[in-house]
Amino acid sequence: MIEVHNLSKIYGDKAAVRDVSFRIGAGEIVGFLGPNGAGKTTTIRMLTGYMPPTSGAASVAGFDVFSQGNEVRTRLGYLPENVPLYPDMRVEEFLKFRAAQKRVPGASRSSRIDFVVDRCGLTDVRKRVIGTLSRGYRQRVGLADALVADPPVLILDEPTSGFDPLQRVELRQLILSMGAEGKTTILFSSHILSEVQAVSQRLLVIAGGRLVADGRTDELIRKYGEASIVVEAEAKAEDLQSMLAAVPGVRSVDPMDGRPGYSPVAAGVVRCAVHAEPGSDPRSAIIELCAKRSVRLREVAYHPAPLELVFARMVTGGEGAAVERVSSELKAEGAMA
Amino acid sequence: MIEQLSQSWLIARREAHSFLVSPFSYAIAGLFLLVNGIFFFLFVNELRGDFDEVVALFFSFWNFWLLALFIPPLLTMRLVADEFRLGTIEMLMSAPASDAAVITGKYLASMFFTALLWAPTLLFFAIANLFGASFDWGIVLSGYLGAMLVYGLFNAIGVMVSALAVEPAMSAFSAIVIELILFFFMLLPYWVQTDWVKSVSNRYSIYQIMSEWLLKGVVDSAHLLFLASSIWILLFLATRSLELRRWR
Repeated sequence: MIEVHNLSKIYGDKAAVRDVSFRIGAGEIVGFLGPNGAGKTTTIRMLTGYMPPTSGAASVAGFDVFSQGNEVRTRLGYLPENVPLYPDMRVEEFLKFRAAQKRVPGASRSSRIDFVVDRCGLTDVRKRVIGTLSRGYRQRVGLADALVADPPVLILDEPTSGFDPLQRVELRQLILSMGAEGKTTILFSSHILSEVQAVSQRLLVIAGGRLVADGRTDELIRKYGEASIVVEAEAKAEDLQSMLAAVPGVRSVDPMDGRPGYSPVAAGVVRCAVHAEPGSDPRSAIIELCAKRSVRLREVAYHPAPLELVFARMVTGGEGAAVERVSSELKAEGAMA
Repeated sequence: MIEQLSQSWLIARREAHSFLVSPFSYAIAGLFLLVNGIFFFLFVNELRGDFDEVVALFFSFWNFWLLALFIPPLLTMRLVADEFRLGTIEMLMSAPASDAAVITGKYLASMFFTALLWAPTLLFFAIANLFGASFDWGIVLSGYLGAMLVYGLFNAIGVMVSALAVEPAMSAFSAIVIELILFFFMLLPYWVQTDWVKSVSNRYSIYQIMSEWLLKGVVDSAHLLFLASSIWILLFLATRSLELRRWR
């Protein structure tokens, strides 16, 4: 449904998007993840035909986005970042205008508007002037606009940015229900992994203008997410540490005593945070080893990697100062071991 | 083609609606009618009985040209500049509307509002007529045609400048400057009286076309063609600059 081949956009001597290629099949829901300024919006603007690429090609629903822009745009629902709307129009007027612009047949126009107003939760503000609406409502108007022509392809640029948690859940359910119907291909961008993870099975990760990962969401999280395991045992700290470090699948072992925010355990007992290699789960090996060495275990607790850390690793390609900053921040917050 | 015309029409309707709900438009309309009303009254009062001269002055005196200098830039300043300032251009063009359709629609809306501004001035003539004034209605009509042509040209300048400007205020200012330069060239033949300046201005100066031809009741197709193609070129340039601006 969406095909992108070696797409690049270069401003002067700075590349905003470099050699990006991907394919999205019909009915797929794909999250487009990347930090701010990674090139998400530029890529999307090229897909919607708003700006031409410096090189490369893209097609939506089988039409080239540059030479057959109007064909593409009749099949595309697009919610731009920051949801630009005409502040002097009423919600209903605006949707009527957009439905006409998008060639929704006159006979079905008002029923289609009723449908999106209902689906996007706009019934109460239907007659209100857009300029007086709150950010969340304006976001819904933008979404209703994107949906009004019942397009086979939907591109949403940071759709949840103005939403409170409740509205986020509503949007998530809306996207999931459209996904369940299977009629709509959805590409939506975000810089929040947990949001993307909640609705899409597939993830495109962009950083520094390059596509750094493309795959199933759960596999990518497994690949980039290093789980941590808290082990509490009756042993000397150094002994436990060196013993655990030798377990296959363990990347590093950190004693937890003396960390800020850590409440000490009983005397003679130590707690360690074991960081597993990405994709491995050494819990049974740890338990077996402790049994063999007669170390009395008190706790082995598995903590999946916080998504913030997974995100930081994805966009930096693994290690780096940014990853270290995120992980020490998360440790200080107590969000990870 | 038909598709893009209907896009233009939709955009024109939306802009017209935007004019009609904006208090700023009513301020402009009030100013326009007040200035024109005062001058019309003065002309009728001072030129006792010379109604042809009333018509000629109404469409060529300071009231006409000063308003023409300021009103079109103010009407057109936000048409394209605001689309970029609010970011709505991206939303607008995610529907199948071409750059040309957007510019044409905006220009049509500015002409719609111009017609709306001028329409009540017909009442001036009608009321004066009731009180016994008699006008040569042919000349009145060609005066209105001239007004539409002058505003048509200046609105096109305004739309073009708005397509380049970052802020509406900048757009209005630049359009006024461009029109002042035009005025300078229009008045040139009154200072420099060589033959070629005269012949060029006779053909291409909108001031000359207005006062020497239209207000004497002469509608020349060469003049119409010249103005129509000027408007077309300006709108073409506006379309190109919209396109280039989108691409950045």
